[in-house]
Amino acid sequence: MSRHREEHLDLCAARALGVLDEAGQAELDAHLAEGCAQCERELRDLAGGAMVLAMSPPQHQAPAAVRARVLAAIDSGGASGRQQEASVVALPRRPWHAGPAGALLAAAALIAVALAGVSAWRRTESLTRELAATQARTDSLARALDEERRWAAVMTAPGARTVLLAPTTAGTATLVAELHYDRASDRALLFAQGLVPPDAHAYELWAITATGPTSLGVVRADADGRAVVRLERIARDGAVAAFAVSLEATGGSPDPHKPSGPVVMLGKIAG
Amino acid sequence: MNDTEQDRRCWDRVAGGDPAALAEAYDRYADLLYSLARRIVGSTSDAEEVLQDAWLQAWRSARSYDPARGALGAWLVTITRTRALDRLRSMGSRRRGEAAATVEAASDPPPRSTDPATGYARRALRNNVATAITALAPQQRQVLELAFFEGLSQSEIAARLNAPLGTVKSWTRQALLKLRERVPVEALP
Repeated sequence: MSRHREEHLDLCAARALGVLDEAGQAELDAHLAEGCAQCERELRDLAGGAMVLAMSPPQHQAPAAVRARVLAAIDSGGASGRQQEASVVALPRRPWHAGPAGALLAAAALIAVALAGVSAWRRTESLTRELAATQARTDSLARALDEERRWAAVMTAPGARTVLLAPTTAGTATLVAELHYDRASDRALLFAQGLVPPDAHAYELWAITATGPTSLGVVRADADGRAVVRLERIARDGAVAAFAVSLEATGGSPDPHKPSGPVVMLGKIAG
Repeated sequence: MNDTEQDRRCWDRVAGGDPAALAEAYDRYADLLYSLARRIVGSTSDAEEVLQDAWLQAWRSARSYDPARGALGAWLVTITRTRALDRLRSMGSRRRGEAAATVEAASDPPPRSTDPATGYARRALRNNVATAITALAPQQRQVLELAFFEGLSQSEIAARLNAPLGTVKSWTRQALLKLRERVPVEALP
């Protein structure tokens, strides 16, 4: 027998917020199963509070594309993806339960069926949750793999160009960089060595187009001066003819279209 | 017919396999759920996927919704929050930092309002909600937000805030009841 205690109200609050652990869940379920008007009322009030919390983040409009995808998915899948109907337990039609003993038996049978139903429902719920979690992990891994494949394709794409960046007279001979650029996907991979900037300085990469330079960002190398950088939207200001690296104060050039320091490396795209 | 009754009838049709009814429910709740997902996962692309997965799950398990156990909105919020927290955990801590930064930087138009009356009611409710949240004591607000949006357990919150577990539990309850008191329940979706 679980008489109402103040702690049950804390369990109600944790449930309303979705943070009740399994032990608490079991304790609260057992208590509620015996009927506790105070906890039932409390749960309703707390659920209202949780809803207020759910509405508190800044509000954004859900993208129309998601609506279209959801409706397309349920349209093509129909109801086939749905969970199976719970199996229906047929009760005997004949009045075998007439009389007091029969009524007790019938009540016991109903309770047994109900309990079996509850436990099956819990099992299904827990399996559904596990399945959903596994599905989410698979989806996320598949997306990550796709992304990696797209990057790997930058080096193997038919139209990909390899650009060697050589030190200019302003640069030191230890600077080495190679850039693989795929115009079709407008992505590039930069491999560099020797990028150890003087104190309070940084190396910045530039794409040179007909209209001038566009900053592709500061290149962050490891302590040994090695860097591998993934670059996107290279040609945002037009077709790229060359790539350059400049030596800037930490943080890079204040103007994204003009290096403020000396250009130390340069490489033209052949063809 | 009040909103709850409208929701119940609408979801009966969803449970019967009617896609038009799902579209109707979607239009009523998608902005709320998307905003919740963005608050939890941060990036718009992750939030979009969470939103899509949540609606597909709601469709598949439509028959498991029981109006006796709570409002439809609360059930949809639970599904969305669970999926968003799963996503958050699978993202790992590095991207969480980036995600939070994206949230701060993002600035897109607020939700459309279908007609001026609805727009007004929404803004009034939004104000009510904002006032209720800011009226909470800072620790109480923090306890709710760490639990709800970051999925921390109450013991984890106690450790994080260096407060006794019992205190965290009572803050949680007091704060939820205060929110409920300050926003009229019939206004909630």
